[in-house]
Order: sequence, then structure tokens, then C-alpha cells
Amino acid sequence: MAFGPAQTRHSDRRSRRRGEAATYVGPDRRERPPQHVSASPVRLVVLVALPAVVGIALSAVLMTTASSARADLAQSAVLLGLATATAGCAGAITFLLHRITGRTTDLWLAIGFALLALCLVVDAAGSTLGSAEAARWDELATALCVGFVAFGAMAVVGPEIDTRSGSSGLRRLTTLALGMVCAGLLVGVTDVGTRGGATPFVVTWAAVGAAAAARWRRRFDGHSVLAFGGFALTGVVIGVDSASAAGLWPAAHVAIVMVGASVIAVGYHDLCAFSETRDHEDFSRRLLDAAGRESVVVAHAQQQERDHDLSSSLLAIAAAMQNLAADAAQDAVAVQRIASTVASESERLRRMLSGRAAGGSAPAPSSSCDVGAVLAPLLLLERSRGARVCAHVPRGVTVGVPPDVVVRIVRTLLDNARTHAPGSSVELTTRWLGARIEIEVRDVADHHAARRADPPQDDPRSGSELHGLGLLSAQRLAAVHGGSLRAVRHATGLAVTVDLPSGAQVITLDTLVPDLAQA
Amino acid sequence: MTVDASLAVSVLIVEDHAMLAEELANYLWRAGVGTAAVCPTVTDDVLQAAARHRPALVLLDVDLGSDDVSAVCIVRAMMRQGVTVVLLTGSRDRLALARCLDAGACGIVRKTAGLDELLTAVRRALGGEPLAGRDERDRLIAELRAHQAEHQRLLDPFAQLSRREAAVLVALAEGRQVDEIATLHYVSVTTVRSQVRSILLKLGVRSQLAAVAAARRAGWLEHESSRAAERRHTA
Repeated sequence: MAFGPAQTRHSDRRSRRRGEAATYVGPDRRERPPQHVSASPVRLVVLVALPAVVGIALSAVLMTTASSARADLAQSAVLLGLATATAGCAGAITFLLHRITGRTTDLWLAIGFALLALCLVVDAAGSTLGSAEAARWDELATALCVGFVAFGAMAVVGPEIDTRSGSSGLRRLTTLALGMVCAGLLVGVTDVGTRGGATPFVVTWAAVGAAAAARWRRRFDGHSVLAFGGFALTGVVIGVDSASAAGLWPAAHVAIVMVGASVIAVGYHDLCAFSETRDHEDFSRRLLDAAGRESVVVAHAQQQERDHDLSSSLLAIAAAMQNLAADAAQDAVAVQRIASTVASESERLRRMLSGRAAGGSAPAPSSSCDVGAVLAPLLLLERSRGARVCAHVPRGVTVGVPPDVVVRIVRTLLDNARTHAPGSSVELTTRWLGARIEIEVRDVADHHAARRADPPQDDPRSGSELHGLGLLSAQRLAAVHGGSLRAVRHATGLAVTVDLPSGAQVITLDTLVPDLAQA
Repeated sequence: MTVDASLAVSVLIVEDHAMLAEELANYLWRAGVGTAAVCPTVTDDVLQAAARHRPALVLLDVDLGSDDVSAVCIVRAMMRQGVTVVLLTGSRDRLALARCLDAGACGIVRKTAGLDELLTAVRRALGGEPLAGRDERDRLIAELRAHQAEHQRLLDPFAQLSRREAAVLVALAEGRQVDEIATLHYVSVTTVRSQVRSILLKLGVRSQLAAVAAARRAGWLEHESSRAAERRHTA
């Protein structure tokens, strides 16, 4: 079975979020590459304002005709048209979202809205029949409405199942089974509820609550609350419908409008996030590619320069020695001059060659610096900006990279902590581990901030593979200078540790060739 | 700089490495070749030294460690004066070497070669004999021609720009806004906008950013700045 590159890319992305290796388990229509979309104001108007206007108009009509809606078939027909239009509009827009983003979540919502529209048609049709027939039609309408709730709940729970199962086939199967069981259970209980009162309300509320809890664990934000509120209100309406046979229409339509608006809000928010995430990833990838190409160019230029210097120095020494040997009767001053220049040139050669030998493919540390001394001005600056930075950086710990590199890395990490954990304090700790130096930047959130902070599986900064431009650039900078960077999530926040070589020991001829030194 | 008073200077060493220049001059002097050396900081230093010593041969380091010293310009200037130029280099930048050869340098001596080989090359060049390595020279020139053809293909669209449009594009690449450019060029903002539209049309791009990116990718900005430098130098 063949899998396209676009499928591969999306699977990779999800695997990276989970911090796992990329695995391919089967084709999935959801995995098709998304079309290029942007969150424009026009789309905002289309997606949110249209159903909102329809809903407001509908609510106005309902408020004036609430008491007589069921009795008057003509008014019911008008309400039927408006409500069906609202549900249909929401369904169409959600389906459009599905076409744009390629996500099954949006498809489920679209199906749910289609069922809701069908429910309204059935319910209104039932109201035109006799009382005995109307009861059966009401049950059918209620079942359709429950299906709507079930699909909506699946749309909310789906991403959680997706994250946990890790298998698209298993995910689809699980979701389908869960959806069918949920819908069947609710329909069955609704039958009981028509006689027992509030049971459907309780069950529906529990289902929506479970969905809300599942989503809540992932992210707590405004659009999720709107979605949960909408679905929950629909559950309340179903319960009320089962418990009392009168005065349903106004409440039902208000609920429908709320659900429509809330789901559109969810869809639009996700669309924006989807678009921004993709743009950000594209930008990061392009930037890193450019940085890679630039580093190759720089390395090539450095190689050229080293070759030039080496060949010049060697030829100069050869010429000097030739000059010295050619005329042994030179005066002492001339001999001293040549010896001095040869010695200085030899020392220059030694520095170049020791740097090349120590560096391997990566450039060798060009200098060392005292971490405490280098970071002191940066810490002052951060504190002057209001940041709460607690530093444990003893003086005398030298790191074998240039001071500007240390400052750039630590500043990036501090900026990262400030951006992703606003209001948290930051602990900066330096550890000397012999040949290595560790610099740890840990954001320490208070209890409230910790609750609001992203949980581990959803934190873009956590995991074995780093995400975000700041951390990636810091990681790359550390790697270029022979170091590494890792991020670990703790109970109180994220700890990013940079491992760098300690201050380079001065390489002398004695240390390189001890036997020669003894001789 | 070391100048031997007893011998007429026939070789001028142009080298940014002071010790190498001095020791090499001493070596050639001891070998009976009157030699002077110069460590230039600008191109004019070489021209002045050549005017003072009137050498028959210039041993020229291609990489002189400064953007203010152009090896190609030195070769051209020496050619105009009828001075033979031999490249003495440790550089592996084939295009830089090829440009100097194309400008008239007669051969290359690597710094990794021995002093005897260098002395032989100097004597052959002074005697008007061809240096070894004609094949390498031909290969380098061929590579340069191919590179120039590709470069020219990228530069072709920019040849359609008028001088004013070129100036506007350079200003855009420097990060200037349209109103700044208008102030700079003593024209109205509308005029500059019209020039920008014309630039986009001629380059076949849809935004100022794309135009600047195309100019940078084609090397047009460097090309334009070197042309401007040449114009200033000529003036």
C-alpha cells in the first residue's frame, strides 16, 4: 500500500507532538493535504455573522410567538423553515471547513447538523398529524436530535482519541463504535425518558460532560466552553422535551442557534489556528533551510581562509629558513629577527591547527568565557524589564564558546519562558560537570498558572523533539558550538538545559607529546 | 617593504601576509632577482608601488584580505602597463582565480609549491616563457565562461531597467520606503510608485519583496555596486 508524501508529513507532525517516532498505519482521508486557506475578515463574516443574523432573527420571531407556536401550524411552518435554514447553514459551513482542513472532526459536526435539520423537519411534520401519530414522530425527531448530540460529542472527543490511539484505523473504528453505542444508548434511554422524565437529560448531560472533560484536559479556552455549553443546552432541551410535552419550540430554537454559533466559533478558531500553525511551520522550515545553507557557505569561506592562512604561513617559514640557511654569516640582529618571525608564525600555525583538530567538522571553540560575568548584564536587563529571574550562577565557571553565543542562547531561553509561561518566575542555574557545563533555564509557575499552562502532551515546547523557532534556533546554535539542548517538563514548568563544552584547556606541545617534552 | 638598492627591481610581490612578503622578497633577492614587496590596504597602494618600482613581473596574491583591494583591478591595471602578472595563491576559489586569468594573468603558482618551483616560475615569467599548467588555466576559464553565462541569464531582466529604476530598486533593497526614496530622488511619491510598478513589470514579479529577492538571488545588487565603484574609479 502506497502512502503519499502529504500523508507522511501529517503523520510525522502528529508523531512529533507525541514525541514518538513517525509510524504509518494506513491511508486516511483526513490525511489529505489541506488546501491553502487564510483567516480573512470576509471569511469571518461568512462563517459567523450569517448564522448569527439568522439566529437573532429567529429568536426575535420565537420570542413573540412562543406561547402559540405549536398551536398555530402556519407559524410552525415559518419556524420550521428558519430553524432548518439555521441548522443547514451551520452544517454547510462546517462541511466547508471539513473540505478546507480535511479533518474528520468537521465532517462529524456537519453530519450532526444535517441530522438536526432532519429532526426539525420530522418534528414539524409530526405536529401536523394526530396526537397518537405525533408521539411516534416526536420520538423519531428526538432520536435524530440525540444523534446530533452524539456526533457533536464525537467531534469534540475525536482529537483526544486520535492522540491516544496513535492509529488511524483503530481511531476510526473506536470512534464509530463509540458513536453508535452512545447514540443507541441515548435513544433507548429517551424512550424510557418519555415515561420517566429527566433521565435523557441526565444521560445527555453526562455524555457532553465527558466530552467536555476530555477536551478540557487538552486545552481550556473560550471556544471550547462555547461548544460544550451549546451541546449541553441541547441536552437540556431534549430532557425538557421528554419531561414535558408543551412549550418546546422557543427553547429548542434558541438552543439550536446557540449550538450553531458556538460550533461555527469553534470551527473558525480551529481554522485560524490551523492556518497559523502551518504558516509558522513553513516559516520555521524555510528559515532553518536558509540557516543551513548559510552555515555551509560560512564553513566553506572559513575553510578557504584557513587554507590561505596556512599556505601563507608555511611558505613564509620556508622562505625565512631558506634565507637563514643561505647566508650563515648574517649578523646577529638579522638572525634574531628571522628567528623571532619564525617563532611567531609557528605559534600562529599551532593555534590554527589545534583549533582545526579540536573542532572536527564543527568549528572549534574560538574562545572561552566566564558564564557568570557574561550573564550578569543580561540578568540585570531582564530584571529591569520586570522579569522574576533567580540566578544560581557562580563566578569562575568558564564555558568553551564565545560570550556572545552564551548570551544569545540564554536570552532566547529567557524570552521563551516569558512568552510561554507569562507571570512565572525563572530559575537560571549553572552546573560544572568537568568537561561540560550545563546551563538550565526553568520556568516555575505558581499553582494557578500551572493549571492554565498546557498539559505535557499538548505543550509545544515539551517532548524529545523541540518545537518553536526560539528553541530550535537555540538548539542549533548550541550544536554548532559542540553543545546540545534538551527540554523536560516538570510539575511546575518547563526546564530547558543547554549542555556546552567547558572552557578549553590550553593545548601545548607538552600535553600533546609528553615524551617529546621530557626529551 | 624591502627594496634592494643594488639590483633593479624586476618583481613586485603583492601580498597581504607581511612576513611572507618580506621573506619572499629576501629569498628572491638572494637568488639574484631584484624584488620589492607591498602589503596593500587599497588598490591604489599597488598602483603607486608599481609606478615607483616599474617591475616587469607582479607576483599577486589573489586573496588580499580586504574588499578595498581588488586583484582583478590590479591585474587589469598591470596589463595596461605591460607588466606580467603571476598569481601566487593559497586560495581554492576557482572563480576568483579564473577572473584574474581572464583579466590577463599569465599563470598560477600555488603557495603550497616549493620555493624552487616558485623561483623557476618567476624566472620563466621574466624570460617571457609560458608557465606550466595551461590545461588548468583553460579549465578555469571555461568554468568562468559557464558561470558568467548563467549569471548573465539571471541578470538579463535587470538590463531592461532604466538607471532611475535601478536606483529605486537599490534603495528598496536597502530597506527604504517609497516616500523616503521620493525625498532622496527629489521626485513625487507617485513617480516612485510608477517606477516601482515598472520594475515589477520588467522583472515579472508581483511585489517589492520579490523584486529585491530576485535581485539578490541574481547577484544584481553586487553587480550594480561594483559597476558603481568602477564608475567612481573611472571618474
